[in-house]
Amino acid sequence: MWDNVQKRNQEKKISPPKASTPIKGILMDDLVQLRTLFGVSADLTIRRLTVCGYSAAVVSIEGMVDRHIMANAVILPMTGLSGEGQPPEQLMSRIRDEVLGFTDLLQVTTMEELTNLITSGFAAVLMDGVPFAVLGGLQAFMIRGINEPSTEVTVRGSREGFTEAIRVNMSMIRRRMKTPELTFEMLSVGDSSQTAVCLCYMRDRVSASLLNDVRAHLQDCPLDVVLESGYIQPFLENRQRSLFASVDTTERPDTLCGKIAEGRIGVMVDGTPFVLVVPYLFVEHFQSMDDYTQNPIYASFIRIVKYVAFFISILLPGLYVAVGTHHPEMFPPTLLMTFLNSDHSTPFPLIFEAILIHFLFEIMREAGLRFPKSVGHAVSIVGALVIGESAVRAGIIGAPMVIIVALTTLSSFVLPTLYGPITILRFIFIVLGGVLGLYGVVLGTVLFLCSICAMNVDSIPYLAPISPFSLKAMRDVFIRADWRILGRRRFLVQNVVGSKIPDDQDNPNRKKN
Amino acid sequence: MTKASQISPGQLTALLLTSRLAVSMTFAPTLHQVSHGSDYLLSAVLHGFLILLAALPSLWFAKRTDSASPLEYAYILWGKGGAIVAAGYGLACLIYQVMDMVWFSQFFVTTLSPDISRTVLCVTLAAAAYAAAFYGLQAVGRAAALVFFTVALAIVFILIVLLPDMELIHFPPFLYDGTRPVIYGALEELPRTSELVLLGLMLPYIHGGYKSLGKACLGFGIGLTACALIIQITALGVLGDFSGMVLFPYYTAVTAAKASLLQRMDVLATSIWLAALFIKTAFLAMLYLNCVGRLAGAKARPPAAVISIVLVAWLGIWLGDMALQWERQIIWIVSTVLLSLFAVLLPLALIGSDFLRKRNLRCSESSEAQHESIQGHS
Amino acid sequence: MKNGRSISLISFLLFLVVGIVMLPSCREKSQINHRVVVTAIGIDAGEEEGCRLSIQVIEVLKTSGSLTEQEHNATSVYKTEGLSVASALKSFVAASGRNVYILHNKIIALGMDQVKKQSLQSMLDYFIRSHEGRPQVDMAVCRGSAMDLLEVPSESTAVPSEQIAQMLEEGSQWGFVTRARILDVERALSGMYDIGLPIIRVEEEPDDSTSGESDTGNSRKSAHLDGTALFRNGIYAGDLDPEATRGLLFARGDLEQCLYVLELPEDMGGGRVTVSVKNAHTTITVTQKDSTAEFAIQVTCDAEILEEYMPENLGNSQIATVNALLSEAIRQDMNAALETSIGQYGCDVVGLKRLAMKRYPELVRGREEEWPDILKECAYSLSVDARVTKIGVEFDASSIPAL
Repeated sequence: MWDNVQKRNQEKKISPPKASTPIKGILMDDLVQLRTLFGVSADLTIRRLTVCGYSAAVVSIEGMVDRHIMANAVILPMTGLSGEGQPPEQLMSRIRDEVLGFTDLLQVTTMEELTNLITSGFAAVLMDGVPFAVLGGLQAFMIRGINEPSTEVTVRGSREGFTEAIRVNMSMIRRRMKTPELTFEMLSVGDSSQTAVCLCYMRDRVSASLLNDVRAHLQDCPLDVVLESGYIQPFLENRQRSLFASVDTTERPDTLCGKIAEGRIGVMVDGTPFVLVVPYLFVEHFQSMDDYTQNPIYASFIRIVKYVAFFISILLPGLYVAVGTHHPEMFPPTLLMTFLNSDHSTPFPLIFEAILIHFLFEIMREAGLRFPKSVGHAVSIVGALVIGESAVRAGIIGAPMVIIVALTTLSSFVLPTLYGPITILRFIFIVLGGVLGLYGVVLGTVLFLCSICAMNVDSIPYLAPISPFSLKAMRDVFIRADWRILGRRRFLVQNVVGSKIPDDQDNPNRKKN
Repeated sequence: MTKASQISPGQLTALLLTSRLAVSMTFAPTLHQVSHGSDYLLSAVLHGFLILLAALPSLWFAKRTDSASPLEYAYILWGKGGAIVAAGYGLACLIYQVMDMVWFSQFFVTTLSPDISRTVLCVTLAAAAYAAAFYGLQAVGRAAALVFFTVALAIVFILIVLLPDMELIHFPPFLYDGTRPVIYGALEELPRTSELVLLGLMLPYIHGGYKSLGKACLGFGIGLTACALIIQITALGVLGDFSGMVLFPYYTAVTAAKASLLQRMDVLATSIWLAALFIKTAFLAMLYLNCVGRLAGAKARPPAAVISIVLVAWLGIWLGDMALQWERQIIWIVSTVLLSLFAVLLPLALIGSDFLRKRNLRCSESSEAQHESIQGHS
Repeated sequence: MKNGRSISLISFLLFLVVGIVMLPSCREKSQINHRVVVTAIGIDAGEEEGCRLSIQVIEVLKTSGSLTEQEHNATSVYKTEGLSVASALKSFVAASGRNVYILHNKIIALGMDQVKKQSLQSMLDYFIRSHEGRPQVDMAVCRGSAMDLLEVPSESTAVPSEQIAQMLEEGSQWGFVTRARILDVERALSGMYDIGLPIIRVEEEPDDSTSGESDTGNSRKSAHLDGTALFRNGIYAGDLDPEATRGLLFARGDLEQCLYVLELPEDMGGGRVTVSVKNAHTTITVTQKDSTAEFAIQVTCDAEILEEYMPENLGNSQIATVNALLSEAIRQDMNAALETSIGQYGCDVVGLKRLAMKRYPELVRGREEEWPDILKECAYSLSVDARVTKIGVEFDASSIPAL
């Protein structure tokens, strides 16, 4: 992937770096420049004032700063300042060091930095004759409170989920991992949006080459606007046009802590509660926080249930179509009669029935997601009418097919992170089963297996530790071993069997186990 | 393939075993009329031993050349003559693919449901295998490990399900017709072990050099013997002497199996066999495309793949419709030639050629040194 | 990158080819509901050299969706004729417009007339060769015509052939018949041993019930197990009666349990004892005797007293008598089986040639064809060790009315 990135950089024209506009120090000019940059935007607020005889201004974005604190901690102290005759730069330094009571205090010299920070909720102080601006963090924009994550619900575990504010998310991680090895590295992505992105990792565990890769991919991201982590996700994945994502998301701070403790990197994007996790292996789709909080025997059982649900959700409709169309001899006699009866009374071939009903289900599911919640119950009524009893009674589809659909969709809901790939694969296997019977399903399965075995996530096999097989790693794959066993040896993702990530012997922060 | 895409000895063993099981599961001793019944059990053991013997030239070659491929070594030693070796290997891979497709086509015609189009299934199998070949050796190797596990599990499961139908009386006494059927049976089976021919091409892509190759060969020999014994015991235990009267005795035995909801397990057996055949075809396709790439460059691989898909499917169906007996004899002769050439003669020829080259080099160096010392004295 | 393009190209081409070729056949595909599901096949002698087939099929319109909810017979029996089994099946297609689907066939019944005319191999060759043939299909010979058996109604199952299959299974477990399937016929045809097929007798009885589709007037048909038909090299040789069948099962070690009613001698007070035999274990030892062999068949089994119909309860010494009586009864049955099958018909249904071959290959090698006659010259010793291990709950014998 890194080779591709380098090639891409060489191929595209390298645009010259944007020229930065310095703060002139002439207040009027600087304010005019600011107004020009923001155009007719009504939220730019400029408060003119005089400080010790010098003209000054406090610039902020309305709605992003706390007006009371700005008035009490910035404007009033500045206007009450005495010190006529001091040079403006010295006065500004005094304001910075003695007057302004901010915890985040920054000093910038260019317009670009100034606008970037103002739009991030800083208030800027400009003074005539001073070629720099002093800024303080007064963020007070409304953010959503910490709620239970909507997509990853657990029975036992934290009820906190990430929010849209990146700083709040960072604090949630820091609260859980009280180690100085935990590092937050801030980047900016998006030419226009300048979205704050934070790389979150543990210095003593992360692979340097992996970190460099992620950093390089983000820095080379050519997007103009980044509104969600999904925008930058494809740039972090190794393989294009793959059903399975090698980078996935989490909404839970406890899950992210567990991931970064295994040497992975969390990529937080300002404005979204979905944090990317790099790399994300196949087996992780079957792991959840509940697995590690419950009794290991029950947790192991649930793991196996998830794997079985995965195969049911992708293969069951295809197998049913294959057996019903080409191999009905596999049915036991009683089931055969039920099948014959339903097949006799419906006009369509099984393959068409299967595709139709699954397609209808996807339509209803999408409608249920998009429709306002207040009328969402209507979708379930229509769904029950369309797919349920009425369709069977009308003889459009057979009753066994409804059961198959129900079982399949329930199974796919067990693995929400894999819902997309499962849906696509399901349709493929239905077609294969209808056309070539069980042999088509088998060929499709093995080809799918080869495809997924070919995936490498930053030089780590995607299907590891299933293939290449590692017996020791099975303690947390198909079963969940007791914590007394799991806690004996630290698992790092870059050490998985088949990984080609170089050993970070030269990482100064790497501690030997 | 690049050296970066190396596989472990375990994956190589799984690849070889899966590839071999694709033949063993549909093996028809009756066509060879050499050994059957209990004699084939002994043949299988002897065959395993002969496999290890036949792998020795490749192992020796690997040790002497630090796991270089005979293909690459031929280029080094013989220059453009190496292209003949590459063409030979490519042709061998293609021939094996056609043989497998012929057998698959015959199996399809005689035993599978006629509702499924044979042409479409053959084309799909070939195309899917070639598509998988492009995923690379690691993908096929890892998939082979999983497929082998499934196949092994399935044949053990079928054995367990059929235990109530087996009786000791069905096993004829060992060596009833003497030792000749045992020896001939093993010699009949040995040339058909195409994996011995392909070992040479795999040498550079195994972690750990010739020692790993040795482990893989040992695992292959022992694993194959165990699987062949299970398959034959199942067929013989269920059918008895009738297994010598049918084309596909294991398949016929499996049709007798039923377990709970599964009323007919032959479809299951055919499915896993198809999975193994897919891996074998993908493996052969990968090696074949590697040879094509070596001969004509990487750009020639996609069109070669498309042509090969059509060729393999068409030849498989066309030849599959012909009489079985003489065809099997021709296949045995061709297999014996390929095995002798690529598994035995070529490695030995390369070793010999290398030995001569080094000796000539040493001679010329020593004569130069002598010449210089004479000049120095004078 | 380039590999990805190659994969995409090949996948796209494949999808296109498969889609273009196969989509029409999806429409035109013969669905299972266009075929008849055959549950039983009967083969009788037809005109001239042909055969007459009776096929029992499930009529989908008669079913209510689930066999477990079925209240009445869901099958019909059709007749068809042809020069061979395959041609007879196909002529059904011409007559009804529906192709047959025999993968769910449960039983193949052979009429006695046809059995006497043709060998097993020729009658069953279609089922052995065809990919639709199942080795686990039960076989039976009918006294009379096979069609009569297929027309026997069932009170307990919607598909009558299931009841026949259950009858054969239970019958073999209780020692009434040998159970034979296509798989056993295949084994027999390879020359390992001869085969015996169960005989079913169809009788017409006065009908007291109000239901039943095969009622003719006030009578209805019922099926009864009636011994074993012996075949030598696939050709019908003769019958074994039910007692000899039991003995055959003992000799082969296939008996699971059976019942004996033993008449006690007068010095024991007379009366009858019913015993259930279980855990029968058979050992056959082969000893070479010149150019023949001696077979020692030893049977050990347990027995449970189910009923005593006698003046006094059995004491310990009397139990020993019962053991002896039971052993003798079993020995006689075995003797009858061997005398009839081997002595009279030359049928090696016990597999003695195979046992001799395993133990003394030189005895059989080169003389395989002669062994049916050699078996008649072999010596047999039968020993049975039956022991009563359970006598049930004892009660006061005086409560039993005098005989």
